[in-house]
Amino acid sequence: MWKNGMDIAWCPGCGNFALLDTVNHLLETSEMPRNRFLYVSGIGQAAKLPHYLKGVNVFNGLHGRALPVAQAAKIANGDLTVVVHSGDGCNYGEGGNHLLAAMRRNVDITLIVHDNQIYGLTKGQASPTTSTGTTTVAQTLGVMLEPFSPLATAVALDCSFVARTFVGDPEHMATTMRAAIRHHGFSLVDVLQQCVTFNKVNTFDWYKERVQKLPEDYDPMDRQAAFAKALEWGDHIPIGVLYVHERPTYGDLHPALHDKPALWQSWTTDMAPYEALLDEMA
Amino acid sequence: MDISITISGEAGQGVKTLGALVARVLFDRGYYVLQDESYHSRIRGGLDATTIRASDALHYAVQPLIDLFVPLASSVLPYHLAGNGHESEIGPSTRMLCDTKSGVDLPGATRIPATERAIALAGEARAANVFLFGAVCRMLGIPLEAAAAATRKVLPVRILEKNLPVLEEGYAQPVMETWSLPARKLSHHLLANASQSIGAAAIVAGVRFYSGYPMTPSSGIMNYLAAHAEQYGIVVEQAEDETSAANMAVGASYAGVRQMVSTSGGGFALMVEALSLAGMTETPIVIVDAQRPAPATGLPTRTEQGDLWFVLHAGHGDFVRYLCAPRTAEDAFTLTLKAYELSSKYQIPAVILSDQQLADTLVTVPRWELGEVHLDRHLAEPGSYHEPYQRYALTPSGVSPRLVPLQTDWPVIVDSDEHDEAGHLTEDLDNRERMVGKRIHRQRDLLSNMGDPLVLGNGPTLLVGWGSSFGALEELVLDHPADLRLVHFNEVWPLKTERLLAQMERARLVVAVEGNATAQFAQLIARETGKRIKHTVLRYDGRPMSAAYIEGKLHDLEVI
Repeated sequence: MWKNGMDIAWCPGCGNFALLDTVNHLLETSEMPRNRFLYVSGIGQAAKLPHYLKGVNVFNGLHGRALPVAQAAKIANGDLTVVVHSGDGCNYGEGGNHLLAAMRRNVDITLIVHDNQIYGLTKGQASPTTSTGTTTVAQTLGVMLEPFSPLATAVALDCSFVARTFVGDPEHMATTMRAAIRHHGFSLVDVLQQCVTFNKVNTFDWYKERVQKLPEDYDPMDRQAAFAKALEWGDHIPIGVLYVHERPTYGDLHPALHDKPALWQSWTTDMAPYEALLDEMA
Repeated sequence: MDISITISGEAGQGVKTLGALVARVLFDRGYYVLQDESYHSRIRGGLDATTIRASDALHYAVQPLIDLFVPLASSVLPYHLAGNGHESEIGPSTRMLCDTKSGVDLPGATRIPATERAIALAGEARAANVFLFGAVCRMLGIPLEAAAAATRKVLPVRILEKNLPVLEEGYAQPVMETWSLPARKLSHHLLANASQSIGAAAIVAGVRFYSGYPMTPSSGIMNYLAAHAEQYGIVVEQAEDETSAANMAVGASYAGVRQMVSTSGGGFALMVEALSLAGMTETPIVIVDAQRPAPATGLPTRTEQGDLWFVLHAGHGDFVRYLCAPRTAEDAFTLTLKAYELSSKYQIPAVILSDQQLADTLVTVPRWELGEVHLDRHLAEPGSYHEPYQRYALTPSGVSPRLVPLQTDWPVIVDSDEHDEAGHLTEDLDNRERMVGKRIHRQRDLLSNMGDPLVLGNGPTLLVGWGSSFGALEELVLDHPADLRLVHFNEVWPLKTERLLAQMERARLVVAVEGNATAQFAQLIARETGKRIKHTVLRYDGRPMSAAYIEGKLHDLEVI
């Protein structure tokens, strides 16, 4: 399908279009030049999003491996604002171990998970967030595994910023994603979106009827309350910033990074400092 | 002068300390020292042995016959007495020294009350090693002052004072002064293993990011970089797994930092998809594979040259790589620098094939001349690329000008999918052909950077080897220059074959000597040249190659 002069590989009606519009809106309204942004993705339909942006750095890596690339790029070049866009299969399935480690490592990057509760690009198999009992081409007897709860996992791991939003509310999506990018620390935003082709259960209307914004007086600093909210799923699905824990990032804690020029600029061809390495072996 | 001293005990008994003391005193006396390590995959118990070979000539391999044997426990005896393939470690000339408390009951062994006196003098049984060190120095004919100076260098300051009386009493034991090791002059030399020389070369090359996951025998590199991280501003990140470590390597390099990853075969297996990613995105990365016997977990603390075929073919699809296999710790420094240079110049992954023997063996090396090191990240200079900047712009060499993010205002776009010149994914099949050609075309230029293999000796029998087998092969060929000739590679891909072919033409018999079971390098030669090497000397019992081992096998072939 064509949009903005680009051949876009998504199905008509895909939730990714609203997400792309929001990302473009954020880039247009950002005070930072576009080349300060690095968009990293894995593999899947969501992971194609960075290719549809203009003027930003892009690293479209391997399935499940966006987070290791993104964290290392941020460590190497701290002047970049690093945002990861990839799907539920990429981040919660293939890259699960990397997600857990990334929350603990707390590198200042943002992870936007396009969560449509199904594998799209491989044509309709269950993802880690597919509801139990759902039948698919691969899970012909229905999904037997308990669904993965990304937000409860994130709160349990003391992830620095945990949020959920919905593609049907572009304003909420923009506010939430902007807050995540501005947050100093590792941020997770789970974005509920429809898959018009393969998920006939969790449709746009299904989400629309269930999502509920967190109340005005909700305190995202309260970890117990955040954990309770993170477990809510069914007739009511909370959206908004569930949990925030401002804590020192990897870059704040590491002496080679904190208050230092970007690591990649430490390049030197002066050999004098290295004689000490040889002296040690003498 | 060529003496081998073996200290053997259970892990945790202090073999490392005593070994370090002996190596230090011999090095400081001006001898060429080689110290290997042989240990089990456990923290306490098991066998932990070290052999120090000191000589007035440079050696890179141990020799199996022990001159002075210091067993710390009786449990270690079967390992050494059982022999070592064709080699017997303890012979009629072997002198033995042990603690009365060690339980070692060998005829002819000199027993001294090391533990008893250590407890009495220092209140510490562990000081027995310093007592033994004193007696060893006396047997070697080394003055007490030299022994004390070495002790001061090796032991931590907080325990030094209480150990010096122990050393003196150990030195005063009625042991036979069997050798004489006068001080020699050996200036401008270093004592290093390949973990240290690769680590130091990485820092010199500008590495400021290391990602890895602990795995014997590669962890020495991680530990070396970690120990120097603060001084040189290096980020050393222990990743959640090797998959992450290798993807981090690609991410860091994309963002402009020189990186290092080290692992062993099992960890390298998890890095394979990232190797392919580096190939597709044309991102320079350097990985060290410190080989150990495999398949699977294999023998974690032993040595083998068994990953060549794997590393050569690792990664799905066609892409160019550089593989080097250092001969020695000295060579490892130079080749590590070369791996960074070629990886950056050709925007390809480079793998350094080390192994347990290289990683853990301390050896005397001439001090490297840092003034001769020239570094270049090969990042594009302003004006050297067309605008708008395209990361994969087609060029005659196949290599595109490389920018990193924020080097200029141009964004840098890379993709693991097949992509166009701009870096965006495309399924255009004509583009595919151009891009594959671009990626593999550079192999020809890369080949022109490969050095010739080293040739030694003039004999009719040609031995062909690669990597860490060099020390053993060199020693053997220098002993039999009229019978044997050696052609030895330290760069194994792309393979430069001219000199090898010329040597094979002249040889009466060609023998491949390798530390693996299937003669992997000989297979590579056959594939690249069509010449099959029929005779082999292969070692895959986990022990390092030695001249005596190869000599025994060549006797079987009746060539010497």
